[in-house]
Amino acid sequence: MSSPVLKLIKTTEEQSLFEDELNSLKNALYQNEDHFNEVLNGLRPQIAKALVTELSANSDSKENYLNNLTEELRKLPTVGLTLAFEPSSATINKIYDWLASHTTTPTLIDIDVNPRILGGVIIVSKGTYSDLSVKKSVDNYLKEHKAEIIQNLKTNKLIS
Amino acid sequence: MDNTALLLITILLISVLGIILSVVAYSYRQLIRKYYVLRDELDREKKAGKAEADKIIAEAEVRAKEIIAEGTVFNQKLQENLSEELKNASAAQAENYQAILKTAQDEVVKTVSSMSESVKSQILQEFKSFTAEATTQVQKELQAYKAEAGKRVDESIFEVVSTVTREAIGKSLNLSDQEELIINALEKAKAENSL
Repeated sequence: MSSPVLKLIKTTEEQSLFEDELNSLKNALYQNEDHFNEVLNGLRPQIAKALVTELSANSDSKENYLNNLTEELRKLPTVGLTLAFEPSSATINKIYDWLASHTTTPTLIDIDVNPRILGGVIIVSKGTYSDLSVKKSVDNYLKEHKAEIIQNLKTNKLIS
Repeated sequence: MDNTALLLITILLISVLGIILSVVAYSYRQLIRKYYVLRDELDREKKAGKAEADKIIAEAEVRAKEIIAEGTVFNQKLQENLSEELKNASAAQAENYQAILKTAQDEVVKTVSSMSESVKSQILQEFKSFTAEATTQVQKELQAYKAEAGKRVDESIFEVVSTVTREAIGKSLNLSDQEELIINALEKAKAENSL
């Protein structure tokens, strides 16, 4: 059973940021309670709120909880997605929600942006590469209809 | 035996010995005389032999000189004859050569004259054939070049059309379309068990 706070982590970028935040919290534990709370409150509000909730409900020590959470965070499966545009948070949420509803475990999105793919997505998951981009579809169409296109161009006297 | 007898015997022996010595001396004298005679004869014979040898050598020298002299004369004669022969032969050969040259020249002129028309005809025919082949080849190459050039033009135009098409499609997609395409792709990947 994964921690509910991990559902707030949707991309590998956020994963890296959250691991830094957890390390800051673990370091704060070795100073005093006030400093720990200060660091906790300095985190992103949504993350901070979720952590406070979980820590209050957790019967284990804070150190063990944070260590376990770090381990869980590192083990989250990842799917690589290449998009044609820089996705907004809303777009990331839509993708993440779709993945969450169609996969058994929370899956992190490793986003790469390449406008040359025009649209669609290139997926790298479970060691497989799936090019489902618009560019590939267009290229396939152009390749299959090349002779026809050229003929049409000639018919319309666009080329001699 | 008494002394007298001994004396007589001794005298006798001495006498005999004297006689023997006289005979030996005489024989020796005779032998010496004969030796000198023989030596003189030998000297004479030697002198006579040397004279004979000198005579023979002298005669040989004379003969050799005669032979050399004859050889020189022969050589001179031979040279003269050879020169004469060569002169005659050169003249004959020159005449033959002139005759052969004339014949060959005539043959060449004759051959060239007779062949010129056929050669001209053959060259003309070959030239026509070559021209036809060259024309055909050039036409083929020109057509191939035109086809290749046309193909390159087609490829270039097609590439431009492809680029424009891609850009047009890319620009025509709004955010909603993009998100829909992404979700559709994810569904496809899921269906293909790629997720």
